[in-house]
Amino acid sequence: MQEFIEHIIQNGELILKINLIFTLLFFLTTLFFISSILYLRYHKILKEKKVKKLNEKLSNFINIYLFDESLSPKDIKNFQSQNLKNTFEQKIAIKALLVFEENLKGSTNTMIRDLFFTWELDKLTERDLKSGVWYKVARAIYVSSELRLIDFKELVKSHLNTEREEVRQQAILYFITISEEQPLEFLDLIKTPITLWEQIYIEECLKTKYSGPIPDFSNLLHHNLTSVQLFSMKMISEYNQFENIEKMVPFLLSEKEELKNAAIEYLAHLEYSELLDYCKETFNSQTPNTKKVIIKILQRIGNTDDFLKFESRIPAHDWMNLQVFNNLKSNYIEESNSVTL
Amino acid sequence: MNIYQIAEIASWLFLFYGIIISLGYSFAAIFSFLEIRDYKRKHNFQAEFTLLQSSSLPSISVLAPAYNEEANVVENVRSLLTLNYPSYEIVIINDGSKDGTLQQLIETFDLEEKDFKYYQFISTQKVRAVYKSRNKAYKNLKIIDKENGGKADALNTGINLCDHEITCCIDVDCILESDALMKLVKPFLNNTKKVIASGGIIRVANSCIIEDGRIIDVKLPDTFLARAQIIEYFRAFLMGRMAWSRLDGLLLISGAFGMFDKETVIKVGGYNPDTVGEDMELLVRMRRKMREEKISYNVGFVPDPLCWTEVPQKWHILHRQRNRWTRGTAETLWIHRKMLFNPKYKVLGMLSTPYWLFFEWLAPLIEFLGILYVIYLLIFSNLNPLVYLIFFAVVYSFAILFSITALFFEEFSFQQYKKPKYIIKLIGTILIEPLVYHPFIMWASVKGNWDLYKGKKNWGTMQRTGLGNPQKKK
Amino acid sequence: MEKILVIEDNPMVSKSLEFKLSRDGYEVFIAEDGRVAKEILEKHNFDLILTDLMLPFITGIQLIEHVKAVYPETPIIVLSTSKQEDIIMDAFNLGVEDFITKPFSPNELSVRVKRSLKIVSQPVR
Repeated sequence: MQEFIEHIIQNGELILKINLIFTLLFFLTTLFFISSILYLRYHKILKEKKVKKLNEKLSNFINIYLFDESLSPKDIKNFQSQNLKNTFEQKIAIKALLVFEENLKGSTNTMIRDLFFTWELDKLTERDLKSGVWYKVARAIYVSSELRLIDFKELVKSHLNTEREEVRQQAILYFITISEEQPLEFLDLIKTPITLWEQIYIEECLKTKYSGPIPDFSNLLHHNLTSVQLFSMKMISEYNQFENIEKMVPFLLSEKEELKNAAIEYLAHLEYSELLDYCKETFNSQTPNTKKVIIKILQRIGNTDDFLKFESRIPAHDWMNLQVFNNLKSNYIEESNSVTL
Repeated sequence: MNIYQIAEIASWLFLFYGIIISLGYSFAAIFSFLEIRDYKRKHNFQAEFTLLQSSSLPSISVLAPAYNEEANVVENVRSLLTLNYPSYEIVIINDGSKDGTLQQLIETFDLEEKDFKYYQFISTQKVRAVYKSRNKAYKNLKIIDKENGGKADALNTGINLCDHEITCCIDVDCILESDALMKLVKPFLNNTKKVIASGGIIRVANSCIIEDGRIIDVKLPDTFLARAQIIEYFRAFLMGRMAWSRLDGLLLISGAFGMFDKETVIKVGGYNPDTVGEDMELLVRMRRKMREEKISYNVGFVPDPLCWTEVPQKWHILHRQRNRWTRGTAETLWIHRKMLFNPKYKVLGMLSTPYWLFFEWLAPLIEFLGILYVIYLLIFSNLNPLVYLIFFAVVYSFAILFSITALFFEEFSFQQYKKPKYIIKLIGTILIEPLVYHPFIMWASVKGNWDLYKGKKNWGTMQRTGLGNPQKKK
Repeated sequence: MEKILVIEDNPMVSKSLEFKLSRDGYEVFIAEDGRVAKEILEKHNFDLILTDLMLPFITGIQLIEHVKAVYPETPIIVLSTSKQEDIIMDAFNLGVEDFITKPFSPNELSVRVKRSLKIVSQPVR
């Protein structure tokens, strides 16, 4: 081998030398990656073992703490100083506490929160919140909302308009979870449009994480952002707030197509009585998209005849809507057949 | 000019090409790394919030063309019917199968013919009939029977006849994770720009244990051919698409699993039945159109392994598949040659299309020329054998480096192959792959170019062993 | 000592249940999924089964069907986060004795377990 390399260095051309250097470089990098793969595996197994061991300790300790009132405050502190020394261990402890928090309610739940503070885990959470590193912030906000750490309100506020969707989602979750009433107050602080996904997310959080009284969604009808206005109409219809129908009606005349379409769709859901007349009168002048919305809600607000009368009103070139209509019609006929049978 | 001068020039050219390729791959590796790291960070603290019950999620039409699939079609449809998503329809398009595909479906799902009226937004072969089930349990199943017209034509028919605004085009035999639709639709919703398409990562299903149409245990296939393709998929998805998605230069969403905005698809005229690379061609055309009309848009990419597909286990079938892919790439590049090096198309014109031209389409040809050149040298010159050895060493070491990097990314991110012995086996495969598998793939591509030149437009049917069959649990 | 089988995939939760229920004086067995549960069921007779609904491999409903078919006498309590009405209805239609939603209060759980055991052990008139 030695001889071979010397041979090349002395007699070889430049191109061969370059090749040889590259070969060496590639082989070394390959070796580096192979060892990294093996190291990652080894590291992962080791880490899993550590996590498992600590989790067992934590779980034993927390169970005794919850169900076996034999622990003294000193024991609790001792556990902290022995087992929760570094960030890694503290993170695992937080995760474990969150599992208990999520699954338990009543007095045990309060005890879990107390434990979180006694172990001074709020310090780590606060540090992460202030860190400015998005994934740490996101995780810390999540922890704060699960454990209802209302003291961090101001810190979380600044993340409501961040570009990182993950962080923003956690911030939304936080404000809904910690609020006793008016869970959507945070929307006043929102300056960038809320995506459809975020709207679904807010709705879901409201259903699962919030237990106070359902707010009056009409407050949001005049928000600066169209997306929030759409969301508010949707929620009014979702929660059957019939008292807000009057406030939604003006949107039927909105210049923004999406607002108008939403108004038609959700007013139909709320069975607004004048809607059918509105549709009959304005159908011909509506855009194809709005027409589609109208066709889809006709059966809800009118009878069969009302529905069938619209067939002739769809322009012959508007195939998209004719197809939508035909689909609805065939489903409809099918249903009425199965009723008579 | 003597033989040595030619040799010298050629050597420099090949070296230059090699350096360009290495640089390209290195950048791909860096971008992929960043993307994967972000992905990991997103997922390390909270499980995806379950929004599955929300009625606000848009309805999706899942389109699956079937051609002579009688062996598996029923099982595949059953698996599709159990996807976890609040509102979707399954549209199976029977593309004039010559076997009992349609009959099987009619009998199993108690189908009856339905009246249908439809407009050909995209012109297609004639539709013979539309079927729906009498059984309420299968109410979101629709079967379209049509004259044979190829995969693109079948998908276009599905687009004409499906009910919903978002369409998910899949291969009927691929196995989807149960939350696949949920994950793939997210980019459409979580975006302030219009999203025209989204795609995910495809994984190799061979030898995995499948129960009720779901992957329940990931195993490493015993055959070298399948393992080599696993490595290849790592490279293509973990290094290729991951990087392209970060650069917003994605040109291909696999036909096996992709989601599209129906309106945009119809606007650009649907899948092109005249190319065998219809999946790539469609996305390129959609992106081109959006750019030309100056509409800002996005293409989503979901790195989770959502779709598992059975790869060919026989050399001749693999050959046919790759032959087709090459022709697809070449045809797409030819159709959209105006985009090449055109700054108007930004990343697409200056990076993506040139990359596909040089690395995907030309690479096998240049490699082939290189081999011919080496043979020429062997015969007509008396170069020191050491020279060959060194050239070989540099190419080989680069090939394994690239694959190992891809494997490293897999280990760093998803770790689907859990057993340590799998890793060792995969490393082994990587060491042999450049010597056995790669030349074969190169040959298939060269052959593909040749066939294209000769004007052959044959589909290449793929034989399948059947999904449940390869390894059923107990 | 009465035997209880707990089927729950989160080890942290199952351990806590085990702790609490053994404290109440029961012998507790744990299965992390439906398959393991089926195996354990073949080896022991249980006085009560406490199961989650979201389980890997076999759904809770499938497991309940199995138990009701093979061991019709054994009372079942469902412990689940599921808010899906149809699933809850399915569970009751299959004849489960009680349904506790997560998050749950451990003390309440104790009482309900006790009650379910009592109802069943009453002699049939």
